[in-house]
Amino acid sequence: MGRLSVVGTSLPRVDAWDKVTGRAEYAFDVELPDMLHVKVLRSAYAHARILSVDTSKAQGLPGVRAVITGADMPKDPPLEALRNELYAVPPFSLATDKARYTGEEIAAVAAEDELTAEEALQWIRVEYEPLPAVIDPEEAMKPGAPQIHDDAENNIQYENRTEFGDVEKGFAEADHVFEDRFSTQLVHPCTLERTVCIAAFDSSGYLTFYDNSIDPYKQSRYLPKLLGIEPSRLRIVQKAIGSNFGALQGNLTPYIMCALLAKKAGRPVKLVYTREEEFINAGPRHMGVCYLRTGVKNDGTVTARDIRLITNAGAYGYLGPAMMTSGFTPCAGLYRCPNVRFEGKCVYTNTAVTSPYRSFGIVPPAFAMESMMNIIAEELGMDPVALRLKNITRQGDVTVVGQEISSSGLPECIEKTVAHIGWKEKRGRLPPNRGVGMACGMFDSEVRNAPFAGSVAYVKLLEDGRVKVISGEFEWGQGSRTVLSQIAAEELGVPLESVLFSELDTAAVPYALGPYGGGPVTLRGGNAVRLAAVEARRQLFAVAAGMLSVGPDDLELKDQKVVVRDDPVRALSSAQVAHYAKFILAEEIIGRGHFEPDTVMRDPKTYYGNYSSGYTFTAQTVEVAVDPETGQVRILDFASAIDLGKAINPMAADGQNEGCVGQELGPILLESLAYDKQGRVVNPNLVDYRLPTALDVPPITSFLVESHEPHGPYGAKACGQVSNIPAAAALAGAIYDAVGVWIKDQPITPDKILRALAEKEKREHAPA
Amino acid sequence: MGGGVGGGVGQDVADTRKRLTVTVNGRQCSLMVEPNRTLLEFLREDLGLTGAREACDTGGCGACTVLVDGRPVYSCLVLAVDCQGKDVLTIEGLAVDGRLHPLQQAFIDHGAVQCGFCTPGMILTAKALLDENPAPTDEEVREAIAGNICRCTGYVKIIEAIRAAGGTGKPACT
Repeated sequence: MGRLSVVGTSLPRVDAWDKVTGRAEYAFDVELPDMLHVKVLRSAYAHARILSVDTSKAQGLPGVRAVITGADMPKDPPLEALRNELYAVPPFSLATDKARYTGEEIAAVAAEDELTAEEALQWIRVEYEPLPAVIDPEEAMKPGAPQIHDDAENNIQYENRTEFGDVEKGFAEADHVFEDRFSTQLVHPCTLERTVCIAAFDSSGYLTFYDNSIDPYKQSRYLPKLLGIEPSRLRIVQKAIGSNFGALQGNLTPYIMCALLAKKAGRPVKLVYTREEEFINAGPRHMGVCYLRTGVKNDGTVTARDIRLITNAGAYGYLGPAMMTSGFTPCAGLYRCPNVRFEGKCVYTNTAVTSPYRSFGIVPPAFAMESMMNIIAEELGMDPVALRLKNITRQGDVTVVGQEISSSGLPECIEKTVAHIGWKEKRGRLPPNRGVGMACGMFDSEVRNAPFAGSVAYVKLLEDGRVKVISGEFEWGQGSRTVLSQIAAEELGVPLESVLFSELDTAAVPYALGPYGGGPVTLRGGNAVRLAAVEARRQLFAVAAGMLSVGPDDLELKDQKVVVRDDPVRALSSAQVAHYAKFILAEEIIGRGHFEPDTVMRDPKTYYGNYSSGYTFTAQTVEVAVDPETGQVRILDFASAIDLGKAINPMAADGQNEGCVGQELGPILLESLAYDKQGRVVNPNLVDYRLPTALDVPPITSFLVESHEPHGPYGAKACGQVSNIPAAAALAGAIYDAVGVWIKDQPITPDKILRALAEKEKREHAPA
Repeated sequence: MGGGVGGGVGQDVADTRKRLTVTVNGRQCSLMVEPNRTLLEFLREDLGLTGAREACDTGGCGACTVLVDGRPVYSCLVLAVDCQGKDVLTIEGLAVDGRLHPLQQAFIDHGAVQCGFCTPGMILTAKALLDENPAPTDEEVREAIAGNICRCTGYVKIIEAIRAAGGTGKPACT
């Protein structure tokens, strides 16, 4: 590889101009002629039998054009086909016989305007028979707990147990065994743009959706099955997206409701969630309870790990099992310990269906495992850094769960962040109530979660010399189009401004899996775009060679010109060649690139397998001040390093690193989606649900470590969703270093710190 | 839930609209608007200025921030009719003849934009700050933008961009 000129450079985003001028168009802004507005009647109870739904009065209201209920749902949905392709059936239906959480869809109205639609909801009469509800997953498993689904005994949606090595032998070899319970709460990703779904049939019955979901390709694959439409007669179009961190992933209900209403009314319809609907319906991150045992020798060698994880699926099961697998395997792979046991239970509760929220499922077990590593270090009198360096997985390892570590810059990540904070000088030596903490993390750089795990892209050279990238990889704001455009620009020797990107239209651009597992857009999509651009360059040279009567090998690209290497005066601009190809030869210069990672799906029972063609690592070190009078934690400095293989755009990568930390500080310190005993969300708005503001987020110093992943484009791996993995444990460690208490239950709020301090005081002053 | 609401089904309401004359982005507008119409609805739906974003509708996020007589307001909490005779600036009015305002340029150069949904409100809040205090400290910037939620950036690059536009920050990375 020669010297890079565009890749590796901190160029401004390709969509920045539209965004700073307010011109970027989001699904929220899309208005179609003659469009109706949709409002949804949602269950008032967390758990209730639905005895009857009477919509006759609402239907008669002037301005109401269509009303649907559970009775209008697709008849005989092809559940088996969906299950075969998706491994689980996503929510897609309005409630019929029973509502299982407050906010579940019962009926929907399309009307001429929002107010009329809202008024119509009040004329729908629902007869409920309320049932007792259960919110906490551990409570839900107890005998006598309300049964949410008839076929799920003790409300367990899914359970699995897997063991590697010999865990009992590992514990027998240990000098110390540590045991503890850690927990994380329900939190909501709170994208600023709310959920939008627009459905429109054209006169021939072709159905177009505009949405801002995480999963347009999956939706476009499964919706035809449910709606009884031929796949070629349905498409999803996406505009700019006001961020998406995972909520409602795979949920088909908004599409089904909108398609049925649009069909019934014979007009386009638009559904926009209110902020309250976001909180009560658009999937929060699950809560997790983790019981953890770790065996360790006197020298710090970890000999056995026994992990018991309980998470809540919410009222319906969909991605819970997948999140469990995805959360467990990177936690197991981070350290070399050969004896690991995992027992997971995913439990139904009367809450919204839980969804992934940045770094698919790993936050609950990672908080437990990294906190315990810090506790072990403290108890053994070891430096937490030394304990990590003794046990971490290294480049070249095949981990206990089968991950092939083809690159790792974790030691350098650790080194960079501890040096920044001044670890050696500060740990245990700071003035009272100040402390430092650190933790590490690992995540997939992409993931094979389906037989298809590749990416296809086309790169086209236009007749004016510009380059067009046609790829289905998504842009949610993370900068993927900028990164992919940089790759095309690099290979075709054009400036970034000369690269155009196709609009995301599932009928027009190649199928893509989307950003599962660590934002694999860079690794998968980047490889596909690079290969497509290389092929476009080959075609460019072939055409130019004919025009110049030389061989293609005699040519090189220089300043957007194809130049004869030994006779540089003989040159053609790329535009001239593309123009000639298009209008004289009647051939487009268009390269196709296909990347298929050399990976396997994790075994569904054992979870073993090399499911990602690269793994991203992170280390974080943080300094805090804790006020023992108020329990307030002030973060003085936060250093976060990610090993991303190669930074294609360092500024954008820093933005992912900083943003991921800043966002996770909410769940760690502030946020909790709170349900009362009746199963209603008590804080479904942005005043009572406290998101981090600029006053809550401390200065964050980002380090990018480049370990050059052999499978990644230019050595790049993912970087978008790894920095939230160790943050909570690093902070909990710093709080311990400051005031001597471990907080094992998120969020780490002042009241918990004060309570822990009071207990510590009591213990220390208790008579011996 | 269910049951009736007061009044008859789908009763028509008498025309209660009032004439609103207001300067928006330097141009005088004069429209009939309902007295309960928010400034945000007026801008987005009546004038087609969709740069002000609607995200919470309860004054909890700042995505709808515009400047009224130079001061930042949550346009979802202001009634349009209360802007009678006032001067409203939205993100669409910030660039002059296609030339970006230094804040817009700084947001681009410093990577302060990700999904972009908070960006218009954030930039306008920052403009009000810099108009009053061209060389704010880090802390002053944080306080000024504390009412504008960003979910993507952790605010790091936003603060850098605002300070750079005010001339007190470090230059953009290259």
